[in-house]
Amino acid sequence: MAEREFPKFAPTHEPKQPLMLDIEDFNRRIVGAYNRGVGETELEADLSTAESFIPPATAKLRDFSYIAPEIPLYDPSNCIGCMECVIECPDTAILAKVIHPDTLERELQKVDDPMVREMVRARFGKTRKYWDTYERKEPGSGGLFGIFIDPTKCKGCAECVEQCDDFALSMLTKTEKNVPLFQKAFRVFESLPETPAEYIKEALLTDMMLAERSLLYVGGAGSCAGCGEATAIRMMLAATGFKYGPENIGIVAATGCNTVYTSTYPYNPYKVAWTNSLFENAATVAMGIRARWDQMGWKHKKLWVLGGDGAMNDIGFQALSRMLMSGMDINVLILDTQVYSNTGGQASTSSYTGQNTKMSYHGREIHGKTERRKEIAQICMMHPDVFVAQTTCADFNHFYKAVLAANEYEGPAVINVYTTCQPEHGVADERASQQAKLAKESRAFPIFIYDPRNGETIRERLDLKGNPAVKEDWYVVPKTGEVIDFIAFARTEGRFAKHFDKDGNPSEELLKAQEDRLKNWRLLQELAGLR
Amino acid sequence: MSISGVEVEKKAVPYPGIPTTADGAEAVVWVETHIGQAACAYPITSSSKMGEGFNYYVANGMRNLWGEPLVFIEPESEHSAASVCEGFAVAGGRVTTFTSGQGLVLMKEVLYTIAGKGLPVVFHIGARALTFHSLNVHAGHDDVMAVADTGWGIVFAKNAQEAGDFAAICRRAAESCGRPFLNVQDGFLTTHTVESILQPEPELLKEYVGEPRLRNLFDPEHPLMTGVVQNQDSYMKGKIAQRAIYARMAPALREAMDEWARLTGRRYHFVESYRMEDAEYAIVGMGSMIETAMATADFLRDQGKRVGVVHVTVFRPFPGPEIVEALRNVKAFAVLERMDNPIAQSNPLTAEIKASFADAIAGTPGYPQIDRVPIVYSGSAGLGSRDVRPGDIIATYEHMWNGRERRYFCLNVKHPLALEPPFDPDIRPAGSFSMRGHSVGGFGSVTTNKVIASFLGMLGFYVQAYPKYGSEKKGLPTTYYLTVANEPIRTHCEMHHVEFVPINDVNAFHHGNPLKGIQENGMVFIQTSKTRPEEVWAGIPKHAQDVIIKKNVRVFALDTVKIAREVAPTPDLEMRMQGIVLAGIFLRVSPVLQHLEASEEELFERVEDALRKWFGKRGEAVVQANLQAVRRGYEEVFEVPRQVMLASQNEAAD
Amino acid sequence: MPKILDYIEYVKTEDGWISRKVHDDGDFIMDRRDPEAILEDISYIERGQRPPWTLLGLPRIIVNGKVFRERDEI
Repeated sequence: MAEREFPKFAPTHEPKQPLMLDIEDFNRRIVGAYNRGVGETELEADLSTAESFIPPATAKLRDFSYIAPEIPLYDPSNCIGCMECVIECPDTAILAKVIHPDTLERELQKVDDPMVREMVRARFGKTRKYWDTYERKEPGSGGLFGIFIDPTKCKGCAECVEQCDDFALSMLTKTEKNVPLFQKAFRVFESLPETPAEYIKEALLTDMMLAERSLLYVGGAGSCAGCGEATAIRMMLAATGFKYGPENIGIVAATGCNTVYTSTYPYNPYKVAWTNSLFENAATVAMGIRARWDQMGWKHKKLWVLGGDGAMNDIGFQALSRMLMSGMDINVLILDTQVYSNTGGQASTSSYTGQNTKMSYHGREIHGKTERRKEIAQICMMHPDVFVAQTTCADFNHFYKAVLAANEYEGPAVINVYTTCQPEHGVADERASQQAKLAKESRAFPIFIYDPRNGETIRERLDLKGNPAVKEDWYVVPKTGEVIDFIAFARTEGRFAKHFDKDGNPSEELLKAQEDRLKNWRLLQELAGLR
Repeated sequence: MSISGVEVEKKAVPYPGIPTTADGAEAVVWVETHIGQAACAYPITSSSKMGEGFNYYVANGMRNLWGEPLVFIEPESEHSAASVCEGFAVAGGRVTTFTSGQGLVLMKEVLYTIAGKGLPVVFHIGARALTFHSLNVHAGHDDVMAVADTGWGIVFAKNAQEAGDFAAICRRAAESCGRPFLNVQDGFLTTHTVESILQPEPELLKEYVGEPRLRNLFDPEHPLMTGVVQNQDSYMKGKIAQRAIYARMAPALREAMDEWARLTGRRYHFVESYRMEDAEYAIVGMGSMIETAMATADFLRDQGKRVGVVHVTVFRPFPGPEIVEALRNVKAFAVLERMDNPIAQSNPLTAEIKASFADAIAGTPGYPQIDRVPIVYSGSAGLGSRDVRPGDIIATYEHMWNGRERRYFCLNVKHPLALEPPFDPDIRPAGSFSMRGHSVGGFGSVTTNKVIASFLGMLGFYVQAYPKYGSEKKGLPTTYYLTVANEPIRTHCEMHHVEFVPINDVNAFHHGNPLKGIQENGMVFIQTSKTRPEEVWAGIPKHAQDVIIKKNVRVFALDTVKIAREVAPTPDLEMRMQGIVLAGIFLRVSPVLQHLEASEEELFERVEDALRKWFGKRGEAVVQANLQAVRRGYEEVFEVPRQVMLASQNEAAD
Repeated sequence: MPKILDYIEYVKTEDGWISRKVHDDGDFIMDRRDPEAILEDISYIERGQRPPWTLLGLPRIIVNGKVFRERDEI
């Protein structure tokens, strides 16, 4: 790890105005009352509610055990320790640890119930990644890898099952008998020591979530099952926390789904400093914070702005543009759902042509959105000296690299990430990653990295690596010959369903949307020097 | 030294203030650049001057009283300016912004979140009329009233002294009660009017406001979530529970005013009563026109009228009981407001005062017990800096003592609801000398006016100087005003009585009447390239010549353009230098030298000091060039002899 | 598509024991890939015990077509 020796602004005295927040009291009295379902009636309108600050990670205390009907069941024998399920889970409900067998045995001695002991022991397996390679190098050094589900956080979306190529996860129907077992097992898991540093290879970005300092979003948020945004937020925090530590991260969130599901009183899933002001001003509130941090000598601290496409492309566009011109070291994560998710799914400038959303309904006369999609990432690129990436959570290495680069970049950085919004896209809960992947492959949402440090010309700076068949118009699946064009993508989502007739033929409007996507892709190819 | 319209306690105080001249904007910038850590401001007339002022100090590396470098950010809108402030304050910094009119309204959404998070910031407002049927950049109070219910304390200054003092007082109060304040002064009328003030000493500010030690709500080492979402279970609880916090606001502000009085001798109240002891009729209001009303009340008192004035200095927290106490014994009072909302119960200040009286007579605890309510009149005046004159104030009192039925009226427009002034007296302090200059935008007359005011202030006089700003730009006619007196000047209205009229713009005679209000034995200066008095006289239109002769006005002339060209170190300074030459002329023709009992050389020493204050930062060459310009104006100005005037009249008669 | 587990199956074939996870009324089947792990499970089954990895969740287990453990049966 990099050293964290930084000049510090040491306040010489206590602030005049005390903080009316006693964390222990908050967790016990306030969160306790909410957990018992009596928060509304029993808690008083006192000074702590007047301030309404929430301490970190109170959502950890929230219990969703009896909400979803199913829970993932992990089969260690099929698992290769790829970590993809842990990365993609939007709720931090599936976690992994690597542990030396001796440590595990020692820890299990502390567990009274022999069945629980056995149950936990059987969660761990010998993978090539953490066992064989270590044992080959030095016998006795291998670690056991285990995946555990936190039933209090899991919403049963099955994203992890969908993500697992190794058939190591299945969804299991919850019963009165098995839920307590999951709870017990997870409690033991939590008591186990953190994965030792020797099992976490820094170069292997997928392993970052083995480290505690990466897990800065504890779940327990009120997001929809399978929410694509929550995964993006968790992954951003993982990469930033892994490198810089939670004590160096702050988030300014623009009002939207993200603030509603992460800050509804009294549940806070974040372990980092967080504030929300309004819908359209996150970027400029961040400017104020950055200015103050810099004044205090806190230049090393990482400041992230979160917001949806509504907040960044539309209502907060001028604030974003202003911030990008400030040269300030501020990173922006745009959660691009192509729709105003929070207000119930109205069209944004990021929505696709033809998309059937509220305020651009597909009706008898007008068939969905008539305008083209606004490409916020490309617009950001045209602000001088701004790092820009467009990515998806499905491309986790690409995503992580973008976040790490944005953090390293000493200036404004923007990452526009495709985030599936199940209810508004009309896709199933477990499809977040798969749809994002398809969006990329179909040129609906090409991924790229634009790094001004790479040269003077756009083609030097813009890298389209990560998109399939970068020199072609469309990607053709080699085995099947299937053309993955925008129509192919649209066919899989409810928001475009009305554009297909009973024989599956696309509408004129959808062909226009396809043309729009192709034009956008060709433009990117041209900018990247590929055309 | 006492200060216009401000109650000064007559005892030795630790920090009596530094006598100087400044406009309201400068008074605020002085305080903020000493105590602040940052300003984030977006330009909007009339507050831009404050943002520019703050930025000027930042650009020159000024540090605050605790040695911290200041930060200035200019975002892309007022919404963002307020947002940047919110961010800075969330992270524990002491921050401000400056705004007006639409800017304040655009900030409104952010004002709520700043108040809700308990960020004790102070924003400075040059109050400005809002754009309804048309745009207006001048004073109005509808902008402040539009944000009156955002959870901010609101304090109104009626002059530059108060604007500066309230900057410090609001800051202390805000940081003590944990809620923000708006420090309001009238756009242009106060922001841009140079007055003699007592500037707070840096040591005072250091002691009184204290080192910024605000709670940091955005410290990653102590992470916290602020600005959360609440539903039916908790939102209302949070809102209602804030009553306990807001209950601290009034005591905090009172304490801040008391401590200010202890340290400076300048005593402020939530409600300022002026000559109300036995008053039968009162005028109530906020801002600069109330000081005009105070001066007018003195005039009426001298005539035996029992009239008084109440200035509502603190609009939030609204001092209902204090207002009732101040007004309970009058027969009638009229609330003058710089806005008009015809479909409200009344205009906002009137409505809140009426509600206070309703509470009082209904026996609401905390209110004085009363058995009758005075007749309440309400008037709109001064919208968009429409002039409010002593005559208008007199008309208002007259309306009351005549017991007129109509409860709503307006002032100084031709309208069925308007009150007609019976007369418009000159209520300037005795011995006042006023100048109204006629120039063209961009000729540097604004700077000249300030330079002259600065000289006069340094020479120990009371001054008031301001330009009449239109929204129009360079090259169009402008007028500027300056009054010098031996007493504080409390009228904030256009000058209809002038002793001296410099005319820089030869066309002034053609697009108006530059001799309007010129007093008997007054003086006119004409900028001209002509060097012979006969030619100068011949260039004045006949109608103006008649006035000049009838009123026995003296006429002076000089080619300030030529002198400016000769002394300006660089061509871009020529226009401004013309104004500086005029300063020399002013010193020559005004009674300043007589009052001072100083020699010419002593005068020029003081002039040099003043020039150095103004231009010192641009280098010694500029200072010397300016001094030469003043000297040449003083020495080379020539008069058109009376015989020349009369001779030409006789010729015409022949 | 949700893959909801019906049962875990162990079958003895000519090539030895195989194990599968049967989902969605048989519509989706996941093969278990680690023969050693399967053999270890069988050693437990032969002792009349649940394979330990199924202690968490307590899914139904079918061995050679016969129910070995019902759902929730330890």
